[in-house]
Amino acid sequence: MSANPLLDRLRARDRSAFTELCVAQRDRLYGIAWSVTRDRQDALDVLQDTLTSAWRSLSTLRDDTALHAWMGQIALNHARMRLRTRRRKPVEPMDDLDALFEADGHRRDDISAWPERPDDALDRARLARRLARLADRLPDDHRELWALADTQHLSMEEIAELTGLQVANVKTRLHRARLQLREWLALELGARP
Amino acid sequence: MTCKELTERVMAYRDRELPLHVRLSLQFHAAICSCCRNLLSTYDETVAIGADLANEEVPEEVAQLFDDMLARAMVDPEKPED
Ligand SMILES: [Zn+2]
Repeated sequence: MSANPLLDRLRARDRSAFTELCVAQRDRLYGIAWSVTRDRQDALDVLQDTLTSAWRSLSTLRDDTALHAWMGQIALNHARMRLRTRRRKPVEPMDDLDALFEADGHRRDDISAWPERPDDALDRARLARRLARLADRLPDDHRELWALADTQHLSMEEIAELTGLQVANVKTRLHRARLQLREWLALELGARP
Repeated sequence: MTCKELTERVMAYRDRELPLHVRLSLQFHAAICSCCRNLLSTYDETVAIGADLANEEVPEEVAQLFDDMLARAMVDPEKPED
């Protein structure tokens, strides 16, 4: 017997316990799957694969398993596999950040302000899709962290738990991804980078 | 603080994780450097545009399909339902 009665029921392959767990996690799991694959059908397939894998792995649950993290990791792994089987745009090398600055640390080129973000919902959605397309050029690990943090609003701690990275590493890579997306978006928006 | 040092600290600044003296020094640099002011605002914009991608609701079909998905998942390999 563990301190968590739900864990005991799950290990006993109790269908109602599994249903309870999955229903509670449903939107979060779909969010992880969708943010990484950015494809509705892929996300649905990932969700199915996640449920199937979780049911099959119930015997691996330990007393200290955090259930939401455990299911999230299964979903993330399936989403990564799905992404690998689907051809994405070729990844582009990220800018060498050092090259943006003079030896004394001053920025080499100018940075302009951007035009006001559109009020119209359709225009905003279009702009967001442009950003999503640019994110496809990021290396997978950076793109994934950006998707989980900036489109799903997972906390740094949650992302660290899902990915197995240290929180500090999550922050460093997320910041790097945002800086790169900002540079690319500046070019797209016609502003000087 | 230089432009490069500010660039490295934008996220920590937004997340209010910088010690006060570093925060003040960053704000001082931004006050005199339009480049870095624009970096701060366009970094915020980049994050805000990303947040618009979250507005896609979990589709209705997820809820509709979920019971079937669960039923399909809860098949024990030793005892297939078919
Ligand atoms: Zn500067």
